[in-house]
Amino acid sequence: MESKIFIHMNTSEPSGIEGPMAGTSVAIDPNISVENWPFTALSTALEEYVALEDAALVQRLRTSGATLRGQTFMGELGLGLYRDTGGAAVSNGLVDLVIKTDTTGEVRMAAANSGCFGFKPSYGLVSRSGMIGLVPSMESCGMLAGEIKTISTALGCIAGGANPLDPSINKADIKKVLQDLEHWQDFQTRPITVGILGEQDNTAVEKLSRPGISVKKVSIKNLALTPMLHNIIGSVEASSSAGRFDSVRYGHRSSASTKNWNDMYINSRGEAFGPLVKAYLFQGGYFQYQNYSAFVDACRSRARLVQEVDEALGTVDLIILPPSAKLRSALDEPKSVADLYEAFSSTVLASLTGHPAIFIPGAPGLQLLGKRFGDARLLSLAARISNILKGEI
Amino acid sequence: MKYEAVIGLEIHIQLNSATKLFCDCANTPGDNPNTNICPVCLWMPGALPVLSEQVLEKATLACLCLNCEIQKQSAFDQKVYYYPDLPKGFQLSQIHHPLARGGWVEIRDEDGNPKKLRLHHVHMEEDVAKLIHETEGRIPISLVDFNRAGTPLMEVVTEPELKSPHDAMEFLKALRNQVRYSGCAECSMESGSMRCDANISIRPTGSQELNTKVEVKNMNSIHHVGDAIAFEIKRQIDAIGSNEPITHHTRLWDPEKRVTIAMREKFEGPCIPDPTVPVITLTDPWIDRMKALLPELPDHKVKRFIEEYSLTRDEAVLMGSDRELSEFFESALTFGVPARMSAGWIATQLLPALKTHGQTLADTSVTAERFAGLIHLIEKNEINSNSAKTVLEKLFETGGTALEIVEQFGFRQVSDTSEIARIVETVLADNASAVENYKNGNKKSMGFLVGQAMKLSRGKANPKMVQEMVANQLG
Repeated sequence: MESKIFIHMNTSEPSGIEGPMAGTSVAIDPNISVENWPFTALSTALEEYVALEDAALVQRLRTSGATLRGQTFMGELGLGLYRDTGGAAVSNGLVDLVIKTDTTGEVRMAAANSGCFGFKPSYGLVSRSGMIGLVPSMESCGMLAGEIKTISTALGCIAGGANPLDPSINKADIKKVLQDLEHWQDFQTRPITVGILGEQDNTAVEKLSRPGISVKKVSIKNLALTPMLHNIIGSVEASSSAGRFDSVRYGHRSSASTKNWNDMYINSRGEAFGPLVKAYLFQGGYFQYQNYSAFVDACRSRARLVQEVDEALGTVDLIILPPSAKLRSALDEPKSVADLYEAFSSTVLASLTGHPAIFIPGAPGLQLLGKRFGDARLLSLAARISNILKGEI
Repeated sequence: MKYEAVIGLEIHIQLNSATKLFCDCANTPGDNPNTNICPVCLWMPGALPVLSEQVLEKATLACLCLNCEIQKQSAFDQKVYYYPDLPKGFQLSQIHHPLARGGWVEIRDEDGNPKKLRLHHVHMEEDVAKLIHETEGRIPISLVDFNRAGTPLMEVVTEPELKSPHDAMEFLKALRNQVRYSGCAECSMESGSMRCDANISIRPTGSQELNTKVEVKNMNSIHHVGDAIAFEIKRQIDAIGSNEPITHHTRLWDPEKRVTIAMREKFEGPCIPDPTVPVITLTDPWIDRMKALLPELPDHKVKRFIEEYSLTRDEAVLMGSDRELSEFFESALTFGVPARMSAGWIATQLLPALKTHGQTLADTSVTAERFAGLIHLIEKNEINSNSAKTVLEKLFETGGTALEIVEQFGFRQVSDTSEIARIVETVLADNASAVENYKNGNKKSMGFLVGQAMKLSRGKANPKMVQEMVANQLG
């Protein structure tokens, strides 16, 4: 089974470093660099490419004593969950934690499909240095685990940049998250207000109506726009990000004989990308060259959306997002970009706005959205809500 | 119909920061190929750019030298194009939100009147890799040198309000002087650390319209910029005269044939906000700190030299337009030598001598103090100007002061009346025919006799005294 779940397994001895993650076994997506490990992001465009150095977050995992078990399968360049095995690695007990890129909601949807917790941190909380992806303004290093505590401990270890490698990370915000982690218990008991977004006919929500928890409705006017906004901005960034895969210095190069470098680029890229990524890049090219104003409008709407979400979160501690109607289809091969966005329609909001979000397993599970850099509180509250759903408190 | 030209310039200047724009690699592109490289400037997958603070400071200082308004917020964009010198597929450049807007450079127009030329904006961007095409051998190959990849450039974009090749050349000289003053860039078009593209269009004189512009590249000196613009203006006027349409395209200046040659259609790729480099937010105290670091700028310095040292405008411009030179000049004056005499000797003797010796003011052994020592001797009539030139030469060759050299080699001027009288007497006696000629009305003979007297003194006699004495003797 392991060979179906891991694409690369670490054969070196555990480091024996004592730290908060000692004894925690971790699998990593192959788009996060681990020195001398394959670094392909599961794309033929990066065929046989090997990482030169550890990503910032991998350095932190090592110094925290984590055991790096290997790499799981992922969607090509982090897009979607087709062929992904991160969730299976956790649910089959092969590892305690999977570090996984969340671009459109991959971590949360993988959790929903494998019965574990899936957490996407605030954008900017975990360094993106050493990560290959397509949509730099949305991708975050998320975590999948059977226990919330595993996630919060790991977050305490990997939050922050490999100073000063990532100045996009605001040190004050990180400090706040780390301080909050130490006050975990406070959020287990104090009265909270939970926002319910939209009409939700969910038995899980009903279970939350109890002393200490008040429930109120919240609304986000442009919620329905989110898949489209994510699609436009994401594909444009992807088109630009994937421009570097030219087959010259690494990755797959077409063996077709060509007249010039441009033909070589085109043939190699045509052979290297899978159908979903290819369709996505075509869309991005369309918006870049033919309909740039749509991209500008989408960026503006995104900024408004961030404000709307912040306002909605102003009166509550967290928001319960509507469930996905297409939960299972997230694992299938998308026939089109539209298929992808249909499957991930409930998770793209947090990717667009950069807010932290977590999926709690259950029947059905819940996706919770927290305040920016309120990651530790969100995790603590998610643990409390999960215990309520399980009937443990 | 009469036409006038509308010219806008885009100038790329290499900043002289220690590192590249987004990584710690050395900013010395001329080193052995592919030695100053890392995953970031090789643009390898997964590597994240980190903006260099020193580059930001240098660019800001240079902008302040150009009277620009530093923007509180600026950001990088991805300028998308695919070419082997840019294997990540986009260049990071500040297209939408530049570091600085506005600004101006003052020049003198054709009639010598001051004229301000306005800047549209100044932004930072990364340079691309260098392609080396080896065409010799059986299979031509192209090599890529990444030393230059990711090195910092600032691009100065003028308003389209230059009118002539003269404006363009004067603008470039003033821009170069001002930016050099900031100490942030070398600005040499010859070595490629400053590159200028010109956008040129024409319109009927007096009209306000902006017609289709043509971009001209590949000028590697300020004079070439002037020549290329002059050629292009004439080419466009001729084209309109023969009813040929002017299309938006790029032309290359051919310095051999002295013509511009059509290169390609102008291509504008897409440009999206870069999500990896954070927005640059500058505070007032930070900008004030940069302002405090500004040196006195050439404009101001020239005015001060005129007022303080009574230099003529030409002398002041000569002493003031280069920061190093102006500092040498003022440093020499601190040793109490007269300003105009020093300026004259620097301009006519010292600078040519430095060139001959292949030295610069920064590395020469002729320091301001040693130079001032020489001027001192001239001022006090201790040596005449002929000897002074020889002493200057000796200052390059030996280590002593000007005074020591004069003593050692016996250059001291002879101003002793009796000795000069003896020399003049000897010369007049030896050249009776010349004396005769003078008395018969050939006034030129006087110069010959003075020359002979100077020669007899081996150049050391005070020429003024010799002149007077010869004149007296000839009555």
